[in-house]
Amino acid sequence: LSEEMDHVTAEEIRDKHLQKDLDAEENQNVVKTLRGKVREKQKNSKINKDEKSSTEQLIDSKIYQRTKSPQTEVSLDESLSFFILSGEERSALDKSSEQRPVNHSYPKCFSLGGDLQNVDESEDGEFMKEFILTDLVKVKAAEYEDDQEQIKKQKANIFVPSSSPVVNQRKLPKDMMPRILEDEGFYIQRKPEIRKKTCNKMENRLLKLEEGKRWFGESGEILSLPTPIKQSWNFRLNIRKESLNPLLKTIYRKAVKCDLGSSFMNKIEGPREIYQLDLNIVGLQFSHHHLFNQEQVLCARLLHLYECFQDRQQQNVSQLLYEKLKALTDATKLSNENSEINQLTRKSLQDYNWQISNTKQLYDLERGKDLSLLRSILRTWKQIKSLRQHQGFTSTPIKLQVQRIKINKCDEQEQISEMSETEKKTEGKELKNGKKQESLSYLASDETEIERMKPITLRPQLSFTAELTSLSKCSLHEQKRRAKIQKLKYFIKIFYNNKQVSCTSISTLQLDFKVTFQQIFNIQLIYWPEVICLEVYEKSKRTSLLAKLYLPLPNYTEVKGKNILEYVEFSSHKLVMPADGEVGSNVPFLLEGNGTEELCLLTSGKLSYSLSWSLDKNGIPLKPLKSQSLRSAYCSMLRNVDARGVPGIPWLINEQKLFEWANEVRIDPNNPEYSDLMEFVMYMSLKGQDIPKYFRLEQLQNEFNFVSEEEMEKSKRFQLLQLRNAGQLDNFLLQQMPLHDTEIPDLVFQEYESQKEKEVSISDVNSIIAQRINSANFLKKVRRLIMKRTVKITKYNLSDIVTDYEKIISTSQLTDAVFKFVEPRRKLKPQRKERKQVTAQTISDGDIKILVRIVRAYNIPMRKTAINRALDMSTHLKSSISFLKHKETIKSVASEEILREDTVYPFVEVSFQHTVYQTSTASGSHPCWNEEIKVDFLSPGHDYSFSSLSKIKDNIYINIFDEMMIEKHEDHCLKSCSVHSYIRKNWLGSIVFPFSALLQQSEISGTFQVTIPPVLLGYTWNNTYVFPREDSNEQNLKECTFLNIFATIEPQISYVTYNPTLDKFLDQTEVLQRAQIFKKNCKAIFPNRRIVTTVFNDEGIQFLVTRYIKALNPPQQLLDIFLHDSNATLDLIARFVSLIPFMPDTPEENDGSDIWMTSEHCISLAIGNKEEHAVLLCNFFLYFGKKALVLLGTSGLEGHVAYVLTQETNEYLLWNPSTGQCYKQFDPFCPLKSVDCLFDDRNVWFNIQQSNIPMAVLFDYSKESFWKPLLPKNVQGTKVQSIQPEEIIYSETDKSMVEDLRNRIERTLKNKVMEWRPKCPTRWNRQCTLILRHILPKLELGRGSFVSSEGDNEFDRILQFYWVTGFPIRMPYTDVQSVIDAVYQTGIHSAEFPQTEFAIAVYIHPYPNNILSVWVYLASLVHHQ
Amino acid sequence: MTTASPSVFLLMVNGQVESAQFPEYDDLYCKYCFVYGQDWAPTAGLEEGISQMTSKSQDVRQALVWNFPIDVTFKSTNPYGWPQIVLSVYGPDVFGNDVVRGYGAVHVPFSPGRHKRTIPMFVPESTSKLQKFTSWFMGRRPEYTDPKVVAQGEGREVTRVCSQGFVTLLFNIVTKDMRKLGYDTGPTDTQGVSGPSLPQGFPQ
Repeated sequence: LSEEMDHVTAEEIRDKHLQKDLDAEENQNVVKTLRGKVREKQKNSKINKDEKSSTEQLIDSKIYQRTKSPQTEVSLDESLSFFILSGEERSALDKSSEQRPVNHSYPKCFSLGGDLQNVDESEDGEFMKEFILTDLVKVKAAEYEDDQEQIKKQKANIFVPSSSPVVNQRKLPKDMMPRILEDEGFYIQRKPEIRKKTCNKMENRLLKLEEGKRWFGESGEILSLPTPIKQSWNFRLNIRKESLNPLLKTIYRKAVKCDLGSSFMNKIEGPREIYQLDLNIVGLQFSHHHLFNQEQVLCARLLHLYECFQDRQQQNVSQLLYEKLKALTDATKLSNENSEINQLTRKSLQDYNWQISNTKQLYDLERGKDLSLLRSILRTWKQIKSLRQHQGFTSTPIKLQVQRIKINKCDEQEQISEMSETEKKTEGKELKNGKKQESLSYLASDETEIERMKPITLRPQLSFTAELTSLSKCSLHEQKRRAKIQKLKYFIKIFYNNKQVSCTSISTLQLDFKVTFQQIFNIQLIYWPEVICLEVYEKSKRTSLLAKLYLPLPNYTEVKGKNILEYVEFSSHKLVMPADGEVGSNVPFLLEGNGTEELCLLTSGKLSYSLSWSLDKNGIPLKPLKSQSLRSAYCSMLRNVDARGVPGIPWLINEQKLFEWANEVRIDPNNPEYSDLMEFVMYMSLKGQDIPKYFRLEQLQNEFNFVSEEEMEKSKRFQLLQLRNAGQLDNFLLQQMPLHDTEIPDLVFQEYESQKEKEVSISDVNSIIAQRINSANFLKKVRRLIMKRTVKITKYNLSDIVTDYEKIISTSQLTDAVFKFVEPRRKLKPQRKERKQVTAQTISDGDIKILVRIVRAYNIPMRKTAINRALDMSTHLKSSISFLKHKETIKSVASEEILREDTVYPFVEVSFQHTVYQTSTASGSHPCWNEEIKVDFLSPGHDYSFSSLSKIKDNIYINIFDEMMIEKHEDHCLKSCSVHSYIRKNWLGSIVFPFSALLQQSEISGTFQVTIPPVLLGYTWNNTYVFPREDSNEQNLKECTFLNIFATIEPQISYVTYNPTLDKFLDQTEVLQRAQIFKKNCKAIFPNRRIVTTVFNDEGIQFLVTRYIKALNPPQQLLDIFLHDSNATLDLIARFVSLIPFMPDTPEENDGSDIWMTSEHCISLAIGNKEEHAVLLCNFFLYFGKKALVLLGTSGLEGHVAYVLTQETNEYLLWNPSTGQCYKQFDPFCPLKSVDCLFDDRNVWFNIQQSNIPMAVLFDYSKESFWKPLLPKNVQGTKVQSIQPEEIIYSETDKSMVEDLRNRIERTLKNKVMEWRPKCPTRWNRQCTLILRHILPKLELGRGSFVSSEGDNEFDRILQFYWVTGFPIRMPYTDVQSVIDAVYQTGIHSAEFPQTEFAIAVYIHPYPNNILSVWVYLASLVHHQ
Repeated sequence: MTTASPSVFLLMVNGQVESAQFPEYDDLYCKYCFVYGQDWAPTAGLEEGISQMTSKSQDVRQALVWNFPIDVTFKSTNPYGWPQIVLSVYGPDVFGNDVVRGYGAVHVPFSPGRHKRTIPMFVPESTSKLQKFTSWFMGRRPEYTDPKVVAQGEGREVTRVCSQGFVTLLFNIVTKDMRKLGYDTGPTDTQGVSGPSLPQGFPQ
């Protein structure tokens, strides 16, 4: 049964498709194919047709539900298994057990077809019932089935498709050839890859299916979608830092701005267009090499000659001429033959003849050249041969053969035969010299004959067939040489647009001196090719550059198609000495063959290469099309036409010019050379107006203009802001800037304007006052302007910004710090500690104090005591009454002290910025106070930086007063009555020093001379006091008072040493540079010493200081006064100079670079600084023929000063131009503290002595070990032209103006004194004033003693009734205010005594040029009671 | 004083110096002050302040928290010289000397609203190793004479500095009349009535 089933099912499945339309009969046909056994059963079934059909239906109905779509194999199997089961069940039936399943199988097929079964459905109804019933009744025993059997059965049921390939016919409809689209050129997407075996299996399986063929495409393959797997793959880089390969790391490269030309223009644009140049480097061929031996030299020569010969051969000029000649002779012959000779023919004949002769000449020439060439070829060959014989080896493969050419023309047969006779032996053989010569002579003899003239038929042929002597047979030299050759290697670097792009491989030099590379380099272009350069390198032991070759750029038309090699020749002048039989390079040598010839050959050769545009796959040349883009054309044109460096903007500007030029030159538009230009012209004209005609640097500026310029100008706020920015709004500085214009008071501007105007002109009636103010303003302005132009100051030092910064210079400092912890503390040993410097930023108001310690004073004038006076008066025959009166009064004033003659009670007042501090009162003329006064100090603007502090021009006044008690009795009763005592102070003298001096020096200490008025009424000098060193001073020290003080600023403000960096000046000559260097060097040695080498004049031009020194005439008026007393004249001149008002200059301006005016300016402006005074004084002294120099140094009281040093016969004198005083070098009271620098009209000397205290300094400046000169000795002699004028012309001072000024001062002073005494009435004593007025003019020219005695006499009358104290003040005139201040300082107004009367007198002594000496005589009178 | 045309604009700054990150140091305090231009004037509040000393938090953050309030109002006519806050942080070194641990400055934010700023801090450095050692040894670290230097550009070229840590600041800015005077500082600053302001966190 199972067997049958097997077959049936197999058949069933296989023929499924065929069975579609089968009815019962057709079934039989099919079944026939089955085995016989089955066939019989089939027959049975036929008989029981009805029955069968009923069974069919039964089963069908049974399985109907299950097998709705029985096309799949699985369901098929299921149904089959069902059949099997049912078959088994039904095997018990009386029907043959085998038959059933078969029967079943058929209906199965039908059911698959699904067509027929329904037809009989209605019939089957009844039949089915019977059948089932019988079925149910049937009972059958259990059946055993063998396992083997079962497996077999299963096998039969399971379809196993074979993996053998399927024939195409079966897959395709009949008679169709598979069509493979891919072969026809269609694009077929890739199919997913499947193993062939799998594919076959699938195909087999599909063929089994009913509509399986649908699955196959035209090509006979299974239809399938293209493979979904992408071929390209994206890989995400692993960017974890640590794992990154170091080679893959990105390296930061600074962005480099490309050359404008190349980036903007020459970059070939377009990503698509790839241009490629192919460079084929074939090899090198040396025409001379330093390793050549002589044979090779000859060989090279031969080659060269041969090449020439071949060239000529190719040109074949001689042949042409020969033919022409022949034609001409033929023509003449022909015309000769024509017997009729007419004019025409004759003419032509003549012409022919002329031509013949001409051509003959030419032909001869050419032939001669050919021959000589041939001759030299042969000669060289001979030399080679002899050389080869001589040296015994052959090192070149060269071989010359000479061939004779057979010419077929019959008329030349004869000649040929002749030739052949002579040259038979030479033919095909190495030419023997002798024979050759024969032939040559033959040729030479023959050449005259036209008929016999013929082209040279000898043809040398070079071949390289000669055998080289093998190495072993060669001489030692040659062996070495060859070894050397083999060691030599060459390579070539390729540079594209000056960048190395590639390098050939290294090739060895061959024995024939060729180097072959045979490399092709493809250069893909990004930038336009400009230069292609090859560098040939030789590499033996070391690499050296042999030659640089520049290749011409290929034409557009040169594409790869052409394979012509090009040659570039090169040579190198490198010197190579010969060693082993070679000849070397650039070295003369003798050729052995002909001893006389000396040669000197350079290494040279040629490089064979080809450079062309390459072709891509499709044969399209990868070259830029000429008209592909206007832009590139534009740029290439730029390259071609314009050699100006930067194309682009300037080009655009000049575009018009270019057009004009192009029109002018009338460029042929069709000339390919200019095609670029024409294209550009077209392009530009097309573009038209797009490009602006101008170039604007800040195109966006307009966008940022919020308002128009005029509006901006009008805006007050903006003006104010501008002013503030310029630092010219001092008074408005600390306020907020008002927001609206309406809030800005016009006053501000007015103030500013007026300030400006004031600078411009002063309208004052008095010309002197006007002049003073004008000149001061002028100078200020000039200074400001020049400083602005010249000086740049670096404002901050590290110490300014970073505090607690102790500079550590050496380790000792560190060890000190360490030892500080260890060292024993000795409480009784105080150690000096440097004061700490404080920087300005940390200081606020109240932090700074000026400390002034008044130690003691010497030789203070004493009151003229009553006793003294009485004694004095006795000589004047005073009445006893008055004497007694006097005595009484004095007694009351000074009680017992009179007896001790110690009649002065001095105290000291220190005043600064209008605050006054006072010491206690001591007694005696040598008092000791030892008191410290703390002066509070406020900086304007609360800015305590050094620069702003140094702007403070206030002076510190130290005044010595005598305190005097006056007791006034209310009534005339006796002492028991009430007594009012009044204190009055009498001014005795003062010391004044500027605050800036204190700031510069940080401390002022020492004993200074007190300036005491020339006359002190009521006081006299103590005669008893003897100065310890009186003998050394001729000066009358008895009439000098000295004060010992110490002053400092607490805390110490760090002194900023500016190093102003001067701008470079165009007129900086060598000397000025030298001066700068000199100054720098000096500062390096002694940073604290002053040195000035160059200064600016009032026009801002830098000069050497020496050019300021020149002898100048003092005013004649002064010279006339003391005609015979030269010393007095000098004093007077010094006084005159000191009367020129001073311009207060700040230290910061003082050092770095100063502005000095010429002496003439100084006098005419009547203002000057310390240096200008010194220069002026020095110039005056020089006029007297004195040896005078200007000295720069520091004074204890004045800070930085300039003195004048004069050399007397045995001593040096120091003149202070600001006071007119003269000191001797060893004067202990000379205020000069340091001597730093000297200069005269020839040189500048810097003090390099250890000590710079005047007393210790040796003033012999010729000694270079003490004084370092600016200019060396040899230069010193040459005197530089001075910038001073030849002569100063003085103008007389207007007397009326002086008088006017005097009145003004006097009036103002009187008003002021009254103003200062608001509580008391101020009485003026007319009589006394009158006397004082008389006295004053005498004081100016008088000398001390004379004046005082005279004064005494004048005063006599007054003194009888009054107790008079008073003094004259003398000062240069600067302005009224300074006079008032000086008067105020004396404190004369502060007398409290009610009955005090005052007297004031002013006298102005005029000097030329409005230089005035002001005298103010002040006196206070107390009436005797 | 809301006249038609105000003559000044006002800038109110309040906020706090919140915290700092100084990994190496502990027990720090800070000082703040303002640097402003000529046209500026404080009208109310404190221009300068010095905070308490704070220690590091014990957690991982190791934050130094001050939460030191700033509250100041400026008036001005000119935005030039806009106020900057200058912070300087101090703390004891190994030997107990009070040394500076950082300077920093930042402009007060321009636009109204809440702003958080983290300022990197730096200190001036010694010029040499030896100097460094001695300054450490002597407990005198270099410091600026005036902390206001850090708000200026002038004179800084002479110093060299080293960075130290960070300070976080919180600003709440209110401006008045700025728009009226033609200064538009913020995109959200609508005149007068502004919409619901930025969502703000909890007041700290």
